[in-house]
Amino acid sequence: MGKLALKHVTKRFGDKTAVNKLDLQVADGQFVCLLGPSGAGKTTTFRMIAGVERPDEGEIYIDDVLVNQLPPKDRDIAMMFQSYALYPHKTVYENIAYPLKKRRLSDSDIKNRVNQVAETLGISSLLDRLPKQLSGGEKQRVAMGRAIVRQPKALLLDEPLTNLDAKLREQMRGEFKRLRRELKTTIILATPDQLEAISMGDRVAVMNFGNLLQFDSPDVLYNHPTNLFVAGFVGSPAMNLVECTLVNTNGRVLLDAGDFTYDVSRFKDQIKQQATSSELKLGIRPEHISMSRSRADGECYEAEIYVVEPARPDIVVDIRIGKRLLTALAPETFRANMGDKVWVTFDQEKIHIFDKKTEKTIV
Amino acid sequence: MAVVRLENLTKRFGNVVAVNNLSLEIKDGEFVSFLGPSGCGKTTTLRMIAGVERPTEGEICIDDVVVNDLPSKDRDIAMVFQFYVMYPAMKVFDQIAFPLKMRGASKDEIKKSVREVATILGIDHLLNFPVGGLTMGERQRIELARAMVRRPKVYLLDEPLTNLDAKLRARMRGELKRLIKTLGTTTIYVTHDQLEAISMADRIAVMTLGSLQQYDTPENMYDHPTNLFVAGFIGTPAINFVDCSFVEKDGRAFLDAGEFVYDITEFRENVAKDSTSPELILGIRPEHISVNKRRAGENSIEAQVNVVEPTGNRTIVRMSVGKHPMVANTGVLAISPDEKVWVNFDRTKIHIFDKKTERTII
Repeated sequence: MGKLALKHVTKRFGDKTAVNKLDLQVADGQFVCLLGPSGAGKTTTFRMIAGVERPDEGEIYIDDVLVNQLPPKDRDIAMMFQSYALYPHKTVYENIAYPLKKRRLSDSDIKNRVNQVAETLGISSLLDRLPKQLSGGEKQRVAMGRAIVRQPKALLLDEPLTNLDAKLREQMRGEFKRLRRELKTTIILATPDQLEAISMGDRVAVMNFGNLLQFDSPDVLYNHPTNLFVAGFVGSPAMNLVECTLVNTNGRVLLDAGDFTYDVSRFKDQIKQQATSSELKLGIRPEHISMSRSRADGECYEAEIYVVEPARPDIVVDIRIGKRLLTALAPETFRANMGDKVWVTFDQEKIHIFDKKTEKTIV
Repeated sequence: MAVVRLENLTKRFGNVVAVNNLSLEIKDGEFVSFLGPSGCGKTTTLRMIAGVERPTEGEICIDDVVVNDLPSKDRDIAMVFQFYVMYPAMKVFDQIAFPLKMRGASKDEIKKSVREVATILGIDHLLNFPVGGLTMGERQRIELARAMVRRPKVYLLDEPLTNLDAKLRARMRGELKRLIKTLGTTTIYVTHDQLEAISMADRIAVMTLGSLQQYDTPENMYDHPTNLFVAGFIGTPAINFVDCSFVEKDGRAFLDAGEFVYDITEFRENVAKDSTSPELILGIRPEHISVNKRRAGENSIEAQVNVVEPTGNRTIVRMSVGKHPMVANTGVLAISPDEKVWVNFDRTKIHIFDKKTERTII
């Protein structure tokens, strides 16, 4: 069993609040990602779960048992660090066996467990090597092995992919997911990389400046962000966020962005109820902006191609409407040059409207 | 005018051939990327063009002048580095003015040039600020300004975006491309990141172990790679490679991959003519594989889903076709691990390689 619950957990360092009233529930066997930029409070949260840092306020429960007073060694939580921290003078076998030796398991038990873990991780052929003889990806698997060989209740992975190059990261993401299905352990992975979080996690907790902003499935975070930060942080290229003023004119309700206007009459009730002022932000994801050589019906804006990046399989196109720059995603067949004129429309079903002051989502 | 031509350029370090007989020409105003994994020779080549490394053999010409014996400072090139070494207390103005000061330019000349360049790069409002405390994006523009102010014939950029996090890199790529294209100066950009190279460059020189593999536009490199290495290096997730045998039967031609057989009758002539043996490799990019819940026609292949990775507007699906791993990159898709699916390849996008020579046939 590996159920985790954090209730109102707060940690302060001097007058800085690193983690602020965090409420988090992780079900047994779930793979949860803590997503947020540097300083969001992810590592501090981990350290409190592991027991190496004491919360100033709040409670931590592991399998419904309050563990605030329990030292790390009694919590049965394994943590894997960014730097791997492998013992340089021990072989791969010895590194993985170490936590079991400390627990005084018999040699044959240790051998069985280590071999099993090595096979799951695909490192059986490396058992006699020393860390310095391993590649980055191999070292990481050994560090994982050392963490899971104890069969902990939960595994905390602190930015495990950060030190790997882009290609290896992409491969390891898939491997992690596959591995996770075999392990069935509760896993919490911290990362500043939104792609990692949404491609791997069952649920993702987005944090910033110590606060939990939204805790949901990747699908919900991407399509229904509840606030401005989540909307702008999840998804790459990032969602376009345009400052506008709410304007009522001739019975229609418009968002005036200066360089263009957008009719939001169909949302007028929601906006009236929830907006705290007329200062709003319009959000539209790059893939929901269409470009065409000819003017379409309805709201269509004339734009200039600012730069085209054929970042295959996507084509990323920065366009300029008036003085405003937006990013759009075009299909593989799109061809255009810097300076070309195009007509742009937004997918009506996919726009978001945020309150600029409260930063909360209205639509 | 700044045409750069490398002729039979070779560099040896003892027994190691770092750059092997490299010949290529960079047109005036072109933005070319040298792309390849660590140790491929791209940085050594850049250093030889810069003049900080001497070629063992071959020539480097800038505008038809052989510059092998010309010291760096006389080559009229400017290098932009990946580590922005700047004195934090120094004002932005002075940082940019530095190379001109070293040249002994007059105060008025310096003032004019610095302002001009700062305006083009959109940092004129920062001129009186100390460099420390500025964002990465701003510092990169200052570094570019420092190179630009010398009005060189050629810019040499050595992995300038490497130290930025993924999100910032993605933003800076577009800006940097726009800047460089607006300036119109011949530019050589070294990177190991294929996404950077294909997003930004006019042409890319892909290298591995010192040798040039292909020198072409990003579009051609991606859609028509000339060998296995280029096909596998460019594109993420990487192209799928499946070992097969070429089989002809009853007037039709097939690629036999064991677990499945793929009809390639329309390519039969070319394959028969250009292959050195029946051992071939089928290549198909992840985004050219469609994943279906039911069999979709004759060429549909059965697969088992292993991992599903939603990436926002797309989904990466890792599957097995028998023992062949296969990766698809589709739009948003509702499928789960362990599901049985049917995959189809876009016939207009398949590649066939000769396994022995590693060259592209189709």
